[in-house]
Amino acid sequence: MILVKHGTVHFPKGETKQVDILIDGDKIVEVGENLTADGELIDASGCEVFPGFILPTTSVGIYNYADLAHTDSDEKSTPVNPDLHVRYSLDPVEVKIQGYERHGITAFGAVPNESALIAGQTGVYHTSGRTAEEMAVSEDVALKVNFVPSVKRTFMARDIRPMTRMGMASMLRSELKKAALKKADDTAYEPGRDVLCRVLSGELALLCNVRERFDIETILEIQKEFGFKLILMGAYQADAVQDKIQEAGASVILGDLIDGSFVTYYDSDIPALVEMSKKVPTAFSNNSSGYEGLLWSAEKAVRNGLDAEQALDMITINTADILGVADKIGSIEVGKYADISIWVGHPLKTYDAHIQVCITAGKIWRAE
Amino acid sequence: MSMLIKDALIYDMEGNAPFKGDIYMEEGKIAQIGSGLDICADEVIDADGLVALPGFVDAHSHLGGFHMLNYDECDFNEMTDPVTADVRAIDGCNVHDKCFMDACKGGVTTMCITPGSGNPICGLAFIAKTAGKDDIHELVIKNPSALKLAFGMNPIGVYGKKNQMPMTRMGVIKVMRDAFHKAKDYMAKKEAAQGDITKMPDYDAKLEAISLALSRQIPLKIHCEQFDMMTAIELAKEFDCEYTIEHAWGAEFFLPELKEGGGAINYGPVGVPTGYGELTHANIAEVKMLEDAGVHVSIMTDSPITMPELIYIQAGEAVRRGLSHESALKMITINPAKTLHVDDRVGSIKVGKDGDIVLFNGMPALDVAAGVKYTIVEGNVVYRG
Repeated sequence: MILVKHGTVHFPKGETKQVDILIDGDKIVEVGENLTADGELIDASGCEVFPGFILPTTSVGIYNYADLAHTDSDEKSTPVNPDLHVRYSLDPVEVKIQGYERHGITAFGAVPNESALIAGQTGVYHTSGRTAEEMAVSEDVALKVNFVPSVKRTFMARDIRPMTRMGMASMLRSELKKAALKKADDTAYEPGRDVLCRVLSGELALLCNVRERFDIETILEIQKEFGFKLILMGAYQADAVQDKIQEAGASVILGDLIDGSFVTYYDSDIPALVEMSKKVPTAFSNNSSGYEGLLWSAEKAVRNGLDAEQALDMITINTADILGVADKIGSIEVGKYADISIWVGHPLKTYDAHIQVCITAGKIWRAE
Repeated sequence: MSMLIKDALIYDMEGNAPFKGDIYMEEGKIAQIGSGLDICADEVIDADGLVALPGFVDAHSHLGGFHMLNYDECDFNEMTDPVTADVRAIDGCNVHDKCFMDACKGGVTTMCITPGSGNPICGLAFIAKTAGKDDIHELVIKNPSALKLAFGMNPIGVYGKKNQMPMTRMGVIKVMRDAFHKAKDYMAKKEAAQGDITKMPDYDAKLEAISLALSRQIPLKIHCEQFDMMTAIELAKEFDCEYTIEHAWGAEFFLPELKEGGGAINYGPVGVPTGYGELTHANIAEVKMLEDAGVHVSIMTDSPITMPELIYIQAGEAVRRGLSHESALKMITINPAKTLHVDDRVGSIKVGKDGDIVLFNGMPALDVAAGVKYTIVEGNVVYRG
């Protein structure tokens, strides 16, 4: 048992309470006043206690930084790979060395890279653990599709489809259509098609990597035809089509806001994206960079008018909700994983805020 | 053209406590600093509630030479020969690229812009303002300002693939040393000729460029991480060159040597994933360790690899990791200005220096919500937030 006492605990929608948190194993078992228990006591007097932050999309952890010439995140032998799953590329050591605890990040979405059109299935994992199984929060999250120029560039070089947007859209439609036409008694071994069937039934989301407004408009049209649960990622011009995104019931995981390449060249309107986040479920991410990027993107939104408490919701409960794991992580609630960070100061208000303790699925890390 | 900034909370980076006051600029220079200045100016900015700092100085950038969405448009890595000392960053720097506006948005008014790190001897860097004129040549403060060298994986990665030296770290230092010795001989021959054209060695643009560093007219600007820092110091010492260490990931393991070597450190960027080898120790906490060890250190962005505004975000991140706020501000203003030897013009708010001011609606590197409201270069507003 671990008891976190005397902290100011942050709940969704800006609510704070002076309550204690009791942890048994990897779960929160009680939240309330004046709790007592045997076990490890963490005195959070004068501290802010947050749910663990969630990095929704990254290829760090499945990248294989040990051998940059042979990465594990980008199977581009063929353009259509729905039956691949990131769990087999997940290297717990690569995750561990990132030191995510330093920013209170306790979970992340592992997402394959961006060369294939249909890149594979994603998972949500804790940032600490020995094996993918031990780290898994959920491995039934989404199928990642890339609707970005890197796809056509990859296959153009080999003179095979798709080398245009037309080719990309047609291949995606055709794969979805084949899945939609699958008969109930068809038991042939076609794992890729079965994954697409789960997308069509709403069991898995379709996580679609997009850059500019044009990409989003095409994907929304395809979504209208097939009716899947859509999560847009990247989406540097999402504000321009926010009404359509809202109408489609889709959500947005914004690409790295401090990465100059896309924000600059797609003329991202950060204040407009901040405004959009008030009506479209929106999260922040950090492309494939270090542990700092998630908070830096959230901070940039704060500089552009976002309230710090709303920013906090966006990197915790809203992200969990978008990824379909809000029953397991994203807030400090009985029954959820014990994913908690404890700070002196509020990291989305001041840089003079210093993390003291990070608890990931009940495992304690203390700042040096 | 004159400008008056009224009632700002001024952090002058001259060692004075922050004070509320006015800054008057004339002909691009700071002419007066005081309170209640009663001067008629062409433009007046009411800065009540705003914080005034000297425009930020980024000691290491590739702005205008890397187009981040179109790698064919990369003009800063002439990777046709391991030694391209003669190429000048200014000739590959497109000041009309969108990322120059990013610099203004990030409050960066002075940059040292350098060739990339694809070669052991990369070329010549220059120092310029980020805005105010349409032609990069009119923005220059100093050109060339340094000879850029690169150790480690970047040159090895380029030439390794071609089965050409350098394929290893052993090869990198050999390439540099050989080139430096050639330049030394070249200089000796030139000197022996005593101006007699018939006795002069054949003109060699590369050796001319290296000579600038060997004669201490410009420093070496050395891209290196981890133990390559030791090799960099050895080389600089051997040829009696002034040097700066760029990036410096893993500096915490070489603090006494870095102090003893005397070169300044331009640290960063951080925010990169942790991997192996060079990617093991990109850790902003190292700037505090360097400062504590008595090493002159600045924070840089490597823009557009990262956005120019990262300069003050990284300063904030350093505060989050234990650096004092005052030191963090120095590391993005006066420290890099001194390192680049342009502190006679920029890096602090002082009468006689250039009118480069950034006005924030809060305290950068402390308040997360603090953003740039005005960026002013030589008395002209170049960005309004």
